Amino acid sequence: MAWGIDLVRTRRNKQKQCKFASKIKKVIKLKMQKPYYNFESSPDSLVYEFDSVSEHKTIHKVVVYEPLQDDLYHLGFGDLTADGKIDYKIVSANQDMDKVLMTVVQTMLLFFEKYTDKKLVFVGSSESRTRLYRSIITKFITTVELYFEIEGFTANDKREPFRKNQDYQAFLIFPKI
Amino acid sequence: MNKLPKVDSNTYIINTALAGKKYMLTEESQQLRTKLSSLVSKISQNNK
Repeated sequence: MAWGIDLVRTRRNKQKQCKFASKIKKVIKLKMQKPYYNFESSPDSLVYEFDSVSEHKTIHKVVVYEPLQDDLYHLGFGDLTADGKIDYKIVSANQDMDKVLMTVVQTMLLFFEKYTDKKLVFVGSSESRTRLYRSIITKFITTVELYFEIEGFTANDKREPFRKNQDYQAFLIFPKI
Repeated sequence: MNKLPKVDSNTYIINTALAGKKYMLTEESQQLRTKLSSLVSKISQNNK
């Protein structure tokens, strides 16, 4: 009997997660309408590839969501080098940073559509990149915080809800269900 | 903490379902990932 109840609860949770996933996707796409690149996704929604294109060059980018702990994934993205490695630290300077970052945001939405109960941690490849992420989160916080919890890792190694003018070592984001 | 299988001294491989593609991280990228893993562990301990 108890198992029966658990099954119903699990099914309800799944339905809730699906509803949530499609809702955030629609609403955030609408409110964050910025140009982004078309990308390819792996069937498990953990790897994405796209090309960053400018007049001068085309750079192949890879976004990877890899498990760190049971419910925690790391978001990493960078350029695919000529020898087939991902370089998180490279500064591409292809004059399309906003478009690239918006593409990463789109992949994040797809990730959460599939992994609604997971959490995502990410950090900039340098202090200035981490500050850039902070400013992007600040810019979209009013929309994003309706659907996601965002936390920062402070200098004294604590987690706290994201605050606009606070420096953080890294960020944690997960859906509000 | 899950560790990616080590390929050689500088690179790590990520197995994905993307058409069986495999990706390796540059050494610096791996260092960044390791640093973040340690930070996450430390923060998990501090928030217990």
